Amino acid sequence: MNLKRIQIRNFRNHNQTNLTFAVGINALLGNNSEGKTSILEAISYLGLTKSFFGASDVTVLQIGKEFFEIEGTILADGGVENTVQVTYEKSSGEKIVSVNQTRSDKLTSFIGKFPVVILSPESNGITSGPPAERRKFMDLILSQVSTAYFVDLQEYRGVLRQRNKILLDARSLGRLEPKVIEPWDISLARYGSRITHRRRLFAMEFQAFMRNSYRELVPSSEEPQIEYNGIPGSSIDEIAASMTSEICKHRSEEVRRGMTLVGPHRDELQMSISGMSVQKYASQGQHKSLLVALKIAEFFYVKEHKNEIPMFLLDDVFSELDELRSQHVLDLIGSIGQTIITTTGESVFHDTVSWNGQNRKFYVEKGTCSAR
Amino acid sequence: MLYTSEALQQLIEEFAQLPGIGTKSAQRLALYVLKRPREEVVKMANALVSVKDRIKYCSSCWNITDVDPCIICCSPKREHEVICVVEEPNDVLALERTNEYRGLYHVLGGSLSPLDGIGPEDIKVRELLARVNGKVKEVILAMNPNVEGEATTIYLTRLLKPLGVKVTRIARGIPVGGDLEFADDATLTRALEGREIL
Ligand SMILES: [Zn+2]
Repeated sequence: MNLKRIQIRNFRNHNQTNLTFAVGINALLGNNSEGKTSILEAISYLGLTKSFFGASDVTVLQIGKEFFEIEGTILADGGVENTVQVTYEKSSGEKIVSVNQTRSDKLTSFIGKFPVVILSPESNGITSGPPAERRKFMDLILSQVSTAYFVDLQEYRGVLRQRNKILLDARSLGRLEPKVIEPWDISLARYGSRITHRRRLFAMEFQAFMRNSYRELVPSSEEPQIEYNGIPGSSIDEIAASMTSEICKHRSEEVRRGMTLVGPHRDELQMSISGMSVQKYASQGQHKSLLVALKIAEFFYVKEHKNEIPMFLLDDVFSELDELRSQHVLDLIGSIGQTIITTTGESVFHDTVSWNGQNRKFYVEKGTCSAR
Repeated sequence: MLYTSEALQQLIEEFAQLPGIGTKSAQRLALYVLKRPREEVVKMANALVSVKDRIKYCSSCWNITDVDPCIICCSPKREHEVICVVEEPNDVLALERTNEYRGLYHVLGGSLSPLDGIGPEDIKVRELLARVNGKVKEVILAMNPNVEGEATTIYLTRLLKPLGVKVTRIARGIPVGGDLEFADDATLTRALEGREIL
């Protein structure tokens, strides 16, 4: 897909910013806190209906304004042009997403229509942070490629909230009535087993994508691996059965702690390089290479499963990478599709990128943006 | 904003408490009432009061009714061996509009939702089990398609099955008259799951 134009109103420090993007590399240049990242954030609203680093709608609304509005003209790979609009109104707290002037009521039918892959300093947690960061990484990819997964995930979270309330009440009461929690045990196993199964299949398939992109970045014999650690089982039914028995085993501990201790919300996507745990033993350089490799793998994985080339958003990536890795990244993205890159210095582009009709650079200053 | 009339202000506040009514709509409604002839307003006010005074719950199916048992439960034309379980009286209205269903109903008065403080004791489950003794052949579960409706379906199924009654649930699927290609993805996904062998 190709984001042809974007109009941003009352968003962060952008009063009114209109941009026409090129089909290849788009560089957003400027000093820090001039509003470069906000443009990427606005684009993430078009794909995911939210900020990629979890800022709330009120936070991104320009101070003193009543609403913000982001409108994008997106050309799908099949040749159809769509207008996507996201507006947020402060007084009602309502966010409206519409495609071609038709309101999209259900998030489940919107997510994944316009796939985006984002690499930003916030992504660092994927290799170095707690397991929740890696679950988020998987969930975002799978939700974009599979509506069924996204629906299951939403329902699982709903079950989890209800079930945790029962356990919390049981903890303060000091007892739990089996009939109260049993229906929620079954629901938990039903949705949980589907999520676990889907993630496990994902990990197996994704490994090949990741190894390919890692090899491009790090010409050595190092081999990265990923493995999904969760309730065992090779089919949904098997997983559901083991989950049900695990739930029974953990009953008293769940009551004591007042929370659900069994299920995919506690699983881990284990990462290692040549058999050594990444979280424990990887060097800074390995972390950086692996993160870039994961994101490039994500790009190709989404592309293959959606039959749609995702938009690649790179936020201030080159300041974190050495010159060799930066060049590798540029070589690769220069040939894959549309990318939008924020950076403070343009020297990184000197040898690789020519600013012809394919690639374009913009200068961002105090919330205004001009093409160069 | 404060009105110069305390009575008007009070009416606006009352309207604003209704579901789906914001302050602006409440103001519009209150000003509308103000402009109506007195007798019409009295009629409206009486309707509000009599809803509370006259309407009872049917002691058999727990639907709202003026007479107990309700006209559906009393009707000799309905199949008394089939009970359709729903969450709210609104659901009965929706099913009755179809003119297709000939059995009886059972209104639970909600679905299991611990976060809202609703457990098995807070909905009409015991009353349902008491009805399913002997004569009833089939219980149709027609809960809302959300996690609370799902848990309620699971809960009731486990209680009903041992009673030897046939337990079924309504299908979730594609809206009739809608093209497949325009059905939203979530609906399609669920419809695929509920597919049947032909
Ligand atoms: Zn009745």
